[in-house]
Order: sequence, then C-alpha cells, then structure tokens
Amino acid sequence: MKTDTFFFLGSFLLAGLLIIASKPPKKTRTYVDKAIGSINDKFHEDLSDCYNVALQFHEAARSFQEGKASENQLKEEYSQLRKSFKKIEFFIEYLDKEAFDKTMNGAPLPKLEKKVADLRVLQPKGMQVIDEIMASEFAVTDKQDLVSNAYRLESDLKKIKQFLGVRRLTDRQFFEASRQALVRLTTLGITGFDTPGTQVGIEDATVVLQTQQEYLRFYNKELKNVNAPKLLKDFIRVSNQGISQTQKGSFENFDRLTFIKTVVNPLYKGIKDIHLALDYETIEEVSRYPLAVNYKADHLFEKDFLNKFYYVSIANDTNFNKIASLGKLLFYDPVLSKNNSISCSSCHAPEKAFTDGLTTSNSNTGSPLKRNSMTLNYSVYASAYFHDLRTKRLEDQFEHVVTSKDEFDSSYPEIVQKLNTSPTYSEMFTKAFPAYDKPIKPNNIDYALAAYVMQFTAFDSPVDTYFQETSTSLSEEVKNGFNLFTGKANCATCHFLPTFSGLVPPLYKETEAEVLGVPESNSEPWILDDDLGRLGNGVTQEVADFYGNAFKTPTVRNIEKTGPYMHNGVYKTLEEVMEFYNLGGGAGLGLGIDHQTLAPDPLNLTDKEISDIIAFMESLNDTKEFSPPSDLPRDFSEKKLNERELIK
Amino acid sequence: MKRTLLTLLLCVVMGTAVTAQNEFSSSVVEVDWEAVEVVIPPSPFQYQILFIGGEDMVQTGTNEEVPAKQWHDFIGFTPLTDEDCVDDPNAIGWVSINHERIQADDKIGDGGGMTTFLMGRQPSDDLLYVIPQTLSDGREGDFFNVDFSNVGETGMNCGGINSIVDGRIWTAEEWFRSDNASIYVDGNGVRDTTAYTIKYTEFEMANFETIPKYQNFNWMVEIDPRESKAVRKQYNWGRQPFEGGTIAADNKTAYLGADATPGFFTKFVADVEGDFTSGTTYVYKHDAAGEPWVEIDNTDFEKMLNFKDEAVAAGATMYNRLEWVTINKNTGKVYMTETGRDNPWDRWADEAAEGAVYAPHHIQRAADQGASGPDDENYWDYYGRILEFDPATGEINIFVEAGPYFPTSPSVNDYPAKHLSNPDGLNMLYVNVAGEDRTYMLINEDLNGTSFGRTPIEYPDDRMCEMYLLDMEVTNPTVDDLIRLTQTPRGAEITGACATTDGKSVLVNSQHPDSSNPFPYNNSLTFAITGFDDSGAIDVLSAPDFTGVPDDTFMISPNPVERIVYFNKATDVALYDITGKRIAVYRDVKSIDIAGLAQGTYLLKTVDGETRKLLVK
Repeated sequence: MKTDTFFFLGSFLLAGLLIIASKPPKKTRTYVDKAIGSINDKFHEDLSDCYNVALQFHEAARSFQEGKASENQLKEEYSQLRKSFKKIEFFIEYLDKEAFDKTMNGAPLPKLEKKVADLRVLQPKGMQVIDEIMASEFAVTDKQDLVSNAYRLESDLKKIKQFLGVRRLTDRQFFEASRQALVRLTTLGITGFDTPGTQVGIEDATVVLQTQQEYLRFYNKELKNVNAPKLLKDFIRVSNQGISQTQKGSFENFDRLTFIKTVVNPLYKGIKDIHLALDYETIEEVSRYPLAVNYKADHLFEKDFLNKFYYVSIANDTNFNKIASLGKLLFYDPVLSKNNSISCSSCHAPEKAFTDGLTTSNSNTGSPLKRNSMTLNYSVYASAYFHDLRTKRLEDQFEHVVTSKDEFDSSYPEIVQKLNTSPTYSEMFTKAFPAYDKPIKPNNIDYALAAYVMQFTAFDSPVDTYFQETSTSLSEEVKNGFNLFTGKANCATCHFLPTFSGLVPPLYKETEAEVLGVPESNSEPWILDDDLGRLGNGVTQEVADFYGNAFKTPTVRNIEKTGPYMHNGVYKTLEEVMEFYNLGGGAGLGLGIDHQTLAPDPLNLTDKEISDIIAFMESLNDTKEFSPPSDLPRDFSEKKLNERELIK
Repeated sequence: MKRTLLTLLLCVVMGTAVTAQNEFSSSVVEVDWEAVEVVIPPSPFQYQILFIGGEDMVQTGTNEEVPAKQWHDFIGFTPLTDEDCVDDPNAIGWVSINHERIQADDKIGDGGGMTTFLMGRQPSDDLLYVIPQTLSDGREGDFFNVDFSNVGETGMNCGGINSIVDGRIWTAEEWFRSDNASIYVDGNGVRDTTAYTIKYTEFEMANFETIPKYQNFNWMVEIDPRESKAVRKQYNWGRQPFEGGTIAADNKTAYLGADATPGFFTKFVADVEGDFTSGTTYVYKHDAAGEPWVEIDNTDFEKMLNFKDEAVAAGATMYNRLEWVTINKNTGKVYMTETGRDNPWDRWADEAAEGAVYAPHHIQRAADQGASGPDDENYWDYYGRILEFDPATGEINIFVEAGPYFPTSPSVNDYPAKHLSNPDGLNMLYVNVAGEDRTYMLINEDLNGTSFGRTPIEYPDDRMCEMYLLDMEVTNPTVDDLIRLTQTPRGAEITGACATTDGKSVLVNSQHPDSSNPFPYNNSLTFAITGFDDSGAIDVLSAPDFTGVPDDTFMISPNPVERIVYFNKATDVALYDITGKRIAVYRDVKSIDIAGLAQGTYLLKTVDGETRKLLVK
C-alpha cells in the first residue's frame, strides 16, 4: 500500500516535473543567441571591414602612383589588406566559389569565359594579381596596373558584400568552411601559391589560424552544454602551437612537414569532432550526391580524403567489385584491339606504375607515337584526361584508344560482338550489370575498365604512412625534400597536395594544365616541342592561344617508376627534370615562349637541395603492388581468339 | 525512492539543456537540389524517355546506322496533316532535334546535325511512342539523321524555329565562326574546309558566290522533318549567331534572335505567305523615327554576310545575348529570352561608338548599379530576363526580370525562394483543360555561372537547370509567379521545351549532363512529360496562396502532400517520422520536397517549436 502511494506520488511529481520541463524555457533564438548568430555577425562585420580596407588600399595605390605615398606606406597598406582579406577569405570561397575565383583570389592566369557563344578571354584579377605587382619593380605600368587592380578588388568586394552580407550561414556551413580553410592554408597558403609575388604565405597562415580560433570560441557555451569543452581547449592549444610555428617561420625555412603533421591534421580533425559533438547535420547527411572531399576524413593524407566516386559515373554500390574484377580482365585482354594483339597493359604495365618505360609509347605496328604513357595510379582524381585534356572523365578516355588507328584500331560494335561470343565474359557482364538486358554495352565496357583503374589509389607510400601516423620516421633528406617541394622549389603550387597532381584544392574538382616550354630534345640548340597540347585537343570551347603547349599536370606519386618524363619523354632521369625546372623551364632556356605558366626565373636550387627533392619524390612510391590476372577467358566460339596472349 | 526521483530530475534537466543546445537532434536530409536523375513531376503527369544520344541509332543510309550525336538542344514538333500518308492511326507528328556540336562523323556528316522521328500517342494511356518509317531515300528505322550535305553541312545547331502555322522547322547555327580553323578543329570538326560555292538556291544574289567554308555557317536552315533532309540555308536573313526565331500567324513574318553581345533582333517579312525566299529583312531600332525597323538590303549578299556591320551602321538596338524567340498566338506578342552575360563590359562598346544603341533597360540597370553605362567594367547582368515585343506598339519591354535580383539587399526572410537565372529556351503551351483554353509559357534555364545566388551554395559547380511554367493570365509576372515543372540531371542544360500540338505533352531535352550521373542520364536525352490536359494537373505544381497568414503562425499546404509542401514563411524545420525519429532538417526554406518518403504520417517542427502533422500520400 505504502509502496503504491509512493509510486503514485512519485508519478504525480514526475508528471509535474515533465510538464515544467516541457514548457519551453526562455526561447533561444538560433540565429541570434547561439554561436551561429555571433558567427554571422562577425562575418558581416569582417566583410565590411575588408571592403573598407580595400577602399583604403585603392587610395594608397593612387597616392603611390602620384608620388604622394612611399613604397613602405603602400606595403603597410598591403599588409593590412592581406590581413583583413585572410579573415573573410574562407567564407567567400565557401559561399561563392565562382565569384571568389573570378574576382578575389584566382590564379593570375587568363581564362576563357564559359557558356558564351564567342571566345572571350577573361583577364585575371584579385589578390594574386595584386601580389605579383607588389613584388614588381614598380615601373610606371606596374603602378597603373596596381591602381586598376585595386579598384577592381574594391568594386568586386562591394558586390560580394552586397550579396553575401544578407546571407545567413548555418552551423554545418561554418564547420565546412573552416575545414576548407585549413585545406587552402596547407595546399595554397604555405606553399606560396596564393602569394606568387611576395611569398608571405606563412604570415597569412598566422592570420588564418587566429581568425579560426576567434570564430570557434563562440562554441564554448554550446560545447559545455554537451560536456565537451575539452574539444575546444585542445583545438586552441594546437592552434596556438601552429601560430607560434608560423610566427617563427619564413617562406624559406618554414618546416611545413611538421606543421602539417602536428598542427593542420589535428585541427582538421578537431573541427569535425566539435561539429559532431554538437550534433549538427553534416553535408554527407544533407546531400545524396558525393562531394570530392569526403567530410568524414580526419586529415589530408587519409586514404579516403578524396571520394573517388565523385569523379566517375559509376555508383558506389554492391556491384562495384564485380565491375572492377571484370575490368581487370579486360585491361589485360588484347581481344579489345582489332588484331587481338595489344591491350591496355601494353602501354600501362603494373610494375611500372602503369606506364611503359618508353620515351613515347609504341603504336600497334611498333612505331613510336607522339606522347609518353601516363601513369594510371591516382588517375581517377581528375577532371580531364590525356596529356592534352581532351576528355573530361576516366570512362571517356578509353573510347579514344579503341578508335585510334594507331592503337586498338577497333570499334565498340566489334568489341561487343567479340565479347558476346565468350560465355565467361557474358556471365561476368550480366553479374556486374544486372539492370541491363544486354549488359555488354559500350558504356559498361568503359565502366569496367574505369572501375579497375579506380583501385590504383593506395596512399601507402612512406610519406603517406608518416602523416597517417602508422610509421614514424622519414630520413632528413626526405623531410627536407618535402619542405623544398612545398616551398622554395615551388613544385606544390602545381603538383598539389595530397595527390601531387594538378587537381586543384581546396575543392579538388578541376585538373590544371601548365605551359612549361618543354623542348623537343634534351640538347642544344633548344627547340620548343611542336605538340600544341591543349590547344590542339579538338575541344571547341578551348581554342585559346594560351592553351598552346599546355599539358595536364600529372601526379608525381610513383615517379621513380614512371620515367621517361614529360609529355614527350624528353627527360630520362629525375635529375634532368629538376635541372629543367631549376633553370626556369623553356623560357629559362631562352625558348621565347611568352605564355609559359611556370615562372621563367631560376629556382637557384643547390645540388644537395635537388637530391633531397628527388629523395622525397622517391618516397612517394606506393607500397601496394598490382598484379595481372592469372589467365584470360578462353571460351570464345572462335578458336583462334582463345590462343591470344595475356599481356602483362 | 528519493534518489530515483533525483536521478529522474537530473535526466529531465539535462534533457532540457540538450534541447536548448540543438533544436533538432541527429541524421538529416535537405531540399532536393541534388537529384541525379530527371526530377519527375508528380502524378497525374507521366514521364518517358524518348531518345538517348550516343545510345539510340540513327539511320544514315540504307541499312546503315550509327549512334546518334549528343548535345540535344532545340526540339520542333510538326503535326501530322490530312495530306500525310502515315499508316499508324495514332501518329501525331514529327519531332526534330538539334545537336549543338561541331564534330566529325563519317556517317552522320561533319559539324552538328539534327535527328528526326515520327511519334504516335497511345489512345489508352496517352503515352508517346516512336513509329518506324521508310523514307523516300530508302532509309528505314526509328530515328533519322537529317542530311545536310545538300546545303554544305551544318554546325552548332542550337535553337530554331517551329512555325505556329504549319510546324515548319528551321535550325539555328549559333556559335559565330570567323575562320576555318575553328570549324576544322584539327580534323575533329568539319574536315572539308575548301571554299563553298552556293548553287541552285532561290537566292539569285547568292548563287555562284564562292565563300570560305566557315561563312556557310551561322544561317537559319530550313529542314524537312518528314524526309529528314535540309531544304535551304536562309541566305536572305543574314549571317548571324542565330539562336532562335518564330513565325507569326500571317505566315509571312519571321522574328529572329542572335546570341551575342551585342545581339540584334531581326525581322523578315515575306512577299507571299509561306514563301520565305523573297521579302524584306529588317533590324530592330527602338529609337527609330516612326516604325522601329530599319531595312537591311537582302539582295546584297555582302550585306547578308556582314549583317552585324550593317546592323551597327543602321544604329540598331543592342541586347546582351538574345536566345529563343516565341510568339503567343492568342495575342500576337513576341517573347524572347535575353540570357545575359555576367560582365558585358567592352563587348559592345565599339558598336556603340559606331552608332548602335543600347537597349534602354541596360542603360537603366547600369545607372541603378552606379555604373557609368552598359559598357562599364562594373556593370553586371548575372541573371538575364524575358523580353516582350508588341508588334502593335513596336515596343520591347521587360516581361520577367530574372533573379534573385534586388536593387537593395533584402532581409533574410524576404530573400526570394525562387530563382530564375539565365533563361534560354522559350516556348508556348496551349492546352485545353476541362473545356477551358489555357496558355502557358515554358521557360528553360541555362546557367552562365554559379555565382551570386544562381545555385545553392552547397553545389558551387553543379549547374541545376530548371524549367518553369508561367500562366499567361498573370499580369505583370515576376519570378514568384513561376511554377517549377522539372529539373534536368546535374550539370545538364535543360532545353528544347516543345509542346505537342494537342497540348498533352511537353518534350524536353537534357543537354550535356554531368559525367557522374547514372546511365542514361549521363547522355543527352529527350524526354516527355504528359498530362497537361488533365484537370488540376498544373495546379498541383503551383504554390498555394498564403496571403494574409501572419508570420507568427506556421501554416503548411497542401496536406496531405504528394511532392512539395509549402510553408507560409521561410524557416528551419525538422521532419520526424511516426516514431519521433528525426529524418530530415531543412534550413531557411519556404517549401520542402518530400519525394522518396514512404506514405504515412510525419511531424514537422520549426525552429520555434511549432509542430504540424504532415500526411504523405
């Protein structure tokens, strides 16, 4: 009885408590009272500040042109401009990437206007253009250029302020933007990409880290509510370590390797941890479409930092492994070529990181073709294929090999017809593509080959495992080589981390091409190789002079195995390659190429520095090895076909 | 007991704290911006794929077929007449499709091209199907490649003309060319670049003129969809970067738009009804004394070749990329899309200096933006617009200004929920619903970029192009009056939008979609949406009217819902299932798309704690 009464009273009390609890407490207004409210306010304020500083800078540039201000005064104003720009950069880049690239901080290279019926060259503008002028001799024309570019920056910031000043960010977006900022800082900031003239990327990094701290501190209260204030404390501690590293560093001596490993990687993970602890939605929950950067990844060198399924039209589903296994057979099978004599592996041999070791590849009759065979490792991470960037995705690449008279000299109908006569292949296609009545279709052949190639992404080189914390040591030479590669030698401003290819961070959606001025042979007199590259790729929308002699920037991963080097295989050794770059490419050799995208100035690398860089590059070899299948299907109805060779 | 209570109390308090912390907890989805397939409108609409580029075979000769070209653009529909001898009693007419390319193809022909096919409609369910044909040149099959060899090939077949009188078809050769190299494209484009001699045409001024090959491009070209053959290049309409055009009800007047900055608006008036080989060509000049048209002598072939120079010399009115042109057959008013170009800047400055004049709305917009004029580096035109030409008054006015365009920044709550950016394809739909005639405009987007709000920020490089309907009954329409009909796969341009003459179906092209869509959505394709004549069908697409509903309440409609549920205000909401599990969070939205949810009861909760039960049917 007593128990019942207690129970009754208890229930009554509990009910009362629940009523009180369910009565809404003082309403917390999301975009006003919570962290995100303060974040939005700060962003809008910083944006206004930056606009005002840009106005001032425009004034300063004019005064300088008129001789009313000194160079030092101008440089002081520029320093202020960089500081206030770096505070808002991460939001602008995240919120309006296109406007950001076109007007704020795109590479200082001309581009073609997209989606218009005529060929229109858009001249670059924004911070990088200004940075180049700030490092110039300030000739009369430089001063004029500075004034007009400062004016452009001011007007463009005004438009951006008008547009973004009314947008409201959510928590998810803030966290994503902040992590993206770390990727930018690492790949484009400290490497010197963002500051092609003044090379003040290390100073910039200090501002970025400080700003990020200021913003994240707004979450202090919310983190306490979920009993996770330690996440913020840890974040600030690491961030402060980073700030002290950047404050001590200069472009020449900054230890990027240590900075990435001990600061950037933990911070990148730290933001995600804070985000998840607060239980805000993530992009991966919001979007059914895979992004190129996998939000779940803890750091840049994690194996799945990039989502390879972003780059292809093949679905990441249960059939993928079947499709890839099928692709593995097709890859080594000469049945795809007209005379059943050559296969993909003829020019892409697994032990050479899927290259052929030749200066330029051989045709189906054994005569040399125009270009060097490219490595297939990590090739899935790209928006353009072939040295001349003529196709846009991995699956489309194969078609060109099939129809080329010099290569497979075949056609899809011919291949489909042949494959249909093998019960093994028919069954494998049926299992790999169950949704199709007739699964042996051109696009499915492409998918299978692409799926196989997609697997060559080991990310297990000594450099990777060092960052992944699964191995602890790298030699001093390799460490020094990494720091030179990402610093003084300017390699990482085109071979971007972590793919070490032309896939541009921080979104990793676009592959770049560069004009290097590669000569036709490695001996004097220097003559520019006559291959037009991108200009001659047949893409109607890419017919611009500045694409002449432009070639896709390949990955330097596994480079020890992929020689000879360059699109024409002109260099046999890495020493020769380094020598070419050290002299400033074709322009440095005196080749009179006016649109070279590589700086024509010598890098002034010493022999020791060159050998360290090579030691580093040789530490980018995958550990994992890929091997051919043991045999090919030999049940074609045509007997002769069953005698074909497995090409390894 | 006491301890238990205390524990309970702690739990409750902690629970409250967490609630105050994050208004919605765990696992989320968002608005359907990221569809990878065509977003299919709700029933009673029916959806079908008719023609897939690179997959369906086109007949190029007797017993000779190759996969169709890609890049589907314009669609024309030519209704069956009493004179046509077609066996199938359910045949309704021919469909013509442009391929906007310059591409070498031994069988189809170099350059661009077109595909035609005959279409029928099943009486039982109104679904469309392709009818096999045998053409008089011996070709047999479903799809036919239009033979352009008799007019010296074609290229970059963009928009076109579909006559409202009799369904005659012209294809527009856009992408203005100025040398042979740009059509040859290293042997990947038009490989025969020998000079072209015009022969045996109705145009005496052009016959036996020999022109560089590239100059035989950028004309309007009439084709015969029944025989899948080109008829003639319209050498008397001038050589321009044509994008679209329309034929007026008199069957004498053609209105033409040119996609360039500057783009000019052209008119041709035939001497005889239906015969467009002789007549007078004019260019539009809004400030001309009297009629706003200046004649360009079309008996002088040089002038036709250099049409732009003539237009500039005539002081014609300049537009920022005119795209498609259409006509409302009820009113005779002509509509055209001016798709815009982000920064026209110096693109039209020289022409202005030589006498051409800016369209007045560009001067006004530049002034509003604080720019010195339409040629100011800072003048922007990110979103474009739809223009209306009234033949009765000769005036061109803005019909719908695209956007999110605002002279001053709106507050977050007033931020437009609908965006129309860079309208391109334009057509009319005449449909009889339950005995009532209704007229709609079909508007297709083709985004020039992603910046300044043209796409949601989560998808900075994914170009979602949408198609809208606009009820022509609406006076002074704005972007808010648009009814979103469909959306093409990621990366694709939505174009073509062409209604069948019976008003039941709209044919749409999804052009050059993104690589990463699943087959067949990785190819250009033609699809049909059928059911516009069903009672209430179009109404299910439009947003309800919340006028007068105060912002401190939360109202949703329709409920039960099949596809899109609308709110009376922009807010953050979470969607919970019947068990109370959160299944989605949407932020700053005025509507949500519930496609993919199972039938049943759900709960919607706003950031302010208001809840509404939602029935999904």
